[in-house]
Amino acid sequence: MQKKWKIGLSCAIVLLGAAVGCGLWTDAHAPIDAERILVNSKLNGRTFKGEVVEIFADNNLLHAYLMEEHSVPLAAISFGFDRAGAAYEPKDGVALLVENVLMDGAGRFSRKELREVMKEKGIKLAVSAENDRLTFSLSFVKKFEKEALEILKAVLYDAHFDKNDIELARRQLAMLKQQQKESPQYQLNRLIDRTFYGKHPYAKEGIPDDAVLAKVSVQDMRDYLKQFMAKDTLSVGIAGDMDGAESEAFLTQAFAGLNEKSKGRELPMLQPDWNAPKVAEVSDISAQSLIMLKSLGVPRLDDDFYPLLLADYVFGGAGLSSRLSLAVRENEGLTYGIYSFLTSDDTGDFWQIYFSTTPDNTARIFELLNQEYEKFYREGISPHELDVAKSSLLSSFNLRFSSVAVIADMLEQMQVQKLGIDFLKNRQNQVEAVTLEQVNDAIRRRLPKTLKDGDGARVFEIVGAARKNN
Amino acid sequence: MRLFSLIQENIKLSRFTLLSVGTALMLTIVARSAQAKLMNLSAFTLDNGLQVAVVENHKAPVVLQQVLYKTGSLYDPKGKGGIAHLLEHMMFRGTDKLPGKMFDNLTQKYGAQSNAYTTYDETGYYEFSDISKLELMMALEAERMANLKMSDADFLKERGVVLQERKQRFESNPVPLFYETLNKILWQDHPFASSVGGSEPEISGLNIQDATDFYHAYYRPDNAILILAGNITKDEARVLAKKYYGSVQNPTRSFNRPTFVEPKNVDADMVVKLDGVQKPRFVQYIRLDGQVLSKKDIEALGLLTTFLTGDDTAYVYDKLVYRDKKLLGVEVGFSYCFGVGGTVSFYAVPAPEWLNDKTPETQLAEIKKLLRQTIDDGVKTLTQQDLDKIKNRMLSEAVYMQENPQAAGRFVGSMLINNYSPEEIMNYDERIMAVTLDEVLQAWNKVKKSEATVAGYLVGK
Repeated sequence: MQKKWKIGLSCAIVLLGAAVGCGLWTDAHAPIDAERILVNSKLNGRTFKGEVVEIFADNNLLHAYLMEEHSVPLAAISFGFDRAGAAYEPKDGVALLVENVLMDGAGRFSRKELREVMKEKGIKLAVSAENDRLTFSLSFVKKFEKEALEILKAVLYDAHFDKNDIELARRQLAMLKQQQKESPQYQLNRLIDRTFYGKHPYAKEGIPDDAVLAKVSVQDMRDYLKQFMAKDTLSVGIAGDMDGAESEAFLTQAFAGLNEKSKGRELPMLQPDWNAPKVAEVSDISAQSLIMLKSLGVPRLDDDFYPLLLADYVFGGAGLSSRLSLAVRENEGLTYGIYSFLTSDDTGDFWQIYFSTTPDNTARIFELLNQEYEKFYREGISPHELDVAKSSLLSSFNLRFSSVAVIADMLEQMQVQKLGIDFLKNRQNQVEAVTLEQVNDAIRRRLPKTLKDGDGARVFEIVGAARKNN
Repeated sequence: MRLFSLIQENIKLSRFTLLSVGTALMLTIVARSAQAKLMNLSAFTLDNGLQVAVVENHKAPVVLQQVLYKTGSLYDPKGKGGIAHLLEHMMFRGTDKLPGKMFDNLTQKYGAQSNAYTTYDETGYYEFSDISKLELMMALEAERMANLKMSDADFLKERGVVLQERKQRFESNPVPLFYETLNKILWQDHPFASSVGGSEPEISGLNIQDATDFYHAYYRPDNAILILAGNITKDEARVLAKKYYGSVQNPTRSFNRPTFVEPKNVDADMVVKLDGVQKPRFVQYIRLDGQVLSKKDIEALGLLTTFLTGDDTAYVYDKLVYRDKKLLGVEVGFSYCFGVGGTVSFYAVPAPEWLNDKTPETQLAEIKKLLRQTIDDGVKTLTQQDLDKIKNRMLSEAVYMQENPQAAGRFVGSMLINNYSPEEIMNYDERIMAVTLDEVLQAWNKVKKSEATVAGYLVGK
C-alpha cells in the first residue's frame, strides 16, 4: 500500500510523526505508547463526586438510595418490585396485559390527556414486566415534579384499564406473537424454555395465546397490582435535582399507599439436569444456525464473583478482544459475533455462550470453542490478561454516571442485588484486589470441566435449514 | 414493551452487535430536537479542514469522541457495493503504530465503549470513555485516519465476517429482503437501490485495492467531523484536537462527490410472498429526488409526520387503529439526504379481521387507498394550534439532551452530517418554532407531486 500523504512533525510527543521533514523517518514502527499518553494527560484526576445516601420515610417502611446532582434541573426515579414479574403472576398473562395498558389512562387523565401532558411537560414514565420484577422508570423536569407525582400516583393506584384499550392490546399482542414466530431467536428461546426450564414458571411463553389473555379480567389486573406492588419488595433509586427532604416527601406521597407485604411467593426451585445431552431443532425459517451454551455461573455476592467476571472477560466477555472472538471471528471470520456472559435471575446464576453462523461453520466453531475452553480450563488466564481485564473494569467505572436515568437505575440495582450503600466506594478496591490465583482457582472450582454436552454444560441449537428467499 | 413499536426498520449497520440488535432510523433529522440554550456547543475548524464540535457537560468525568466521515455506501463505486462498510471493519485492523488488534485491545483495556457504523452518507466511529482516557482515544482515531495499513490476510478474514453479518441479517429473517426488493424498483440505478452493506456477490468480489482506494479518497481531515461531548472545555478541546489531528494531512488529490442520475418515474404495486412471514406488512415509499426539499421543508415534514403518527394519539394512528380498528400499527416515516434524495414511507400492519377474506392484491389496494385518504384528511385538518402543540412537545423533550452527553453528541453529529452549520444547530429550536402552517402544506405538496412510488405487501408463502 502506497502512502498517499505524509505526516508532518507533531507536538511534543511524536504520536503521528511518521515522517519528519524530507524523508527522515522516525519511529515509523514503534507502537503507540498508550501508557505515556495517559500518564501525561492533563485530563487526569477528575472524579465524580456523587454520594449515595439512604432516605427513609413512612416510619422506615419506605426507603431509597439517593444521589444528588443539581447541575441540571432534571430528576430520575427508578423503582420496582421483587417477586412481581411475569414468572410470579397469579394468572397467566396478567403482568403482560398490565404492562401494555397501564399507561392508557389513569386518574383524571384519559389516554390522550396523559400523553399530552407528559409530552408537553417533558415527563417520561415507562413500565416493564420482566420475568422477576415489575419495574418503573420516571424522569421529569424539576419544575414539573408536582405533575410527575400526580401522574405516577394515578398510574399506580388508579389506572383505568378501559376495555377498549385491553381489547386493542390483545389484538396487537396476537400480531406481535405472529411476528416473533418469524424469528429464529424466538425458536431458540422456546427450545430452551421447553428443554431447560420444563415445567418451571420461567418456561412460560412471553406472549401467551389470546385464549389465555381473554381470561384475564380487569379485576385480575387490579388485584395483581394491589397484591404484588408492596413496600416490603420495593427498591427505589433517586438521582438528579432532588435533595433529601424532597426525596423523602416524594417517597411518602408516591408509595405510602401501597400494601405493606407483597403476595409474591418464592418460585419453585429450578433443578436443571446439567448432564443432559445437546438438544437441537431444525428451523424452517432460518438459514442461519443459532447456538446457546448454558452452565452454572456465580451469585453476585459470592467471593468468586469478581474472579469469574474477570475470567469471563478474558474468555468471551471482552467484545472483539476476547479469546473466543479472536479465535473464531478475527482469525477465521466464521461468525459476526461470539461471546460469553454471566447472568443472574431468580432461577439461578448462569454462565452462557452464544453465537450464530451459517450451518457449514458450526462444526469448526465448536472445535475452536472446545480447544479454547480446554486451554482456558487447564491453564487459566495469564497475568497480562488479568491486568487488562482489571484495567477495563476499573477504567469504565465512571461511565455509569453518564445520565441521571442511568444513575437512578444503578441505585435501584444496588438494592436489588444487595450490594450495599458503600458499593461505589468499595467496588474499585474489590476489583483491584483480585489475584491471578483466585481467578484460575475459581475457573477450576466453578466452571464445567469441558463445554461438551453431557459434561456440565447444556447445548441448545437451532439448525438453520430454510432455503434462502431469493 | 410498548405496542406502539409494532413497526420497525433498521438501516444502520454496526461493526458488531450484542444479542439484541439496536434499531436506528438514519437520516431522520427531526426525531429529536435541540434547544440552543440547553446545549453548550462550540465549533471550530483546524487548518487541515477537520471540523470540530464540542458539547460541554461537566456533570461526570466522561466523554464521547466521535469521528464522522462524510462518506458511506452512496460512494461505493459501481459493482463494488459494500466497500464503505467493509472498510469500516478494516479500520480496526491496524496501522504500523497500531499493529494487529491493538486498537480494540487498547479501547477494551481502558474501558471505552467503542464501535462503528456505516449508513448511506456517513461512516462513524466512536469511543465513550472516562475523560482521563480521552487523549489516548484521540491518538488512536487520528492514527487510523492517517495511516491505515491493510494486509491481504486480514482483508480476507474481515470480508468473511462481513459476509456473515449480511447472512445473519438476511438469512435469519425474511423482512430485509422485502424492503430491499422495493427499493430496487423505486431507485433503479441510484445507490439507494442497494442496501448499505452490499449484496453477497458484490461483497465476495471486493478486494483490498478497493478498500485502499476508498480509504485514500474519502478518509481525510477535510472530509471529516470530530465531536467531543462531555467533561471537556472548548479550550482544552482546541488544544487537544490540534495536538492529535492537526498534523494529519489531506491528500493533494481532490475528490468528487458522486452525482446521481434521477431514476425513472415509477408507480408499482407488488405483493411479495416469502417463506417464514407470519405478520403481513404494508409499505409505500414515495421517492423524493435530491433537489426537491429545503431544510425548511425537512423541518416542516418532521412536524407533520409527528402530527400524523408521532404517538398512539396522533391523527392517523388514532383514526385507523383506535377508532376504525382497521390497522394494528401505522407509521409515517421520512428520511432525506440533500442533493441525493429521500423517501416518505407509510408503514401499516392491517388487522386480520378487516381484510381476511380478500386476496393479498386486494388487501394491498385497500390499505393503500385507506392510508392515502386518511393522511390527506389529516393534513387538511391540521391547524395552527395542532402545529404549536407538536413544536412544544418536541422542544420539551430536548431538555434531556442537556444532561446526556451521548445523546447531545449524537444529535450534533447527525445535524452536522446533514449540512446544518453549528449556528443552525444552536438555533434549532427557533427554526422549529418558526415553521408556519403554510410551510408545512407547501412541503407536503412537494411530496404529493412526486411521480415515483412503490407499494408493497409482504405475506407468507
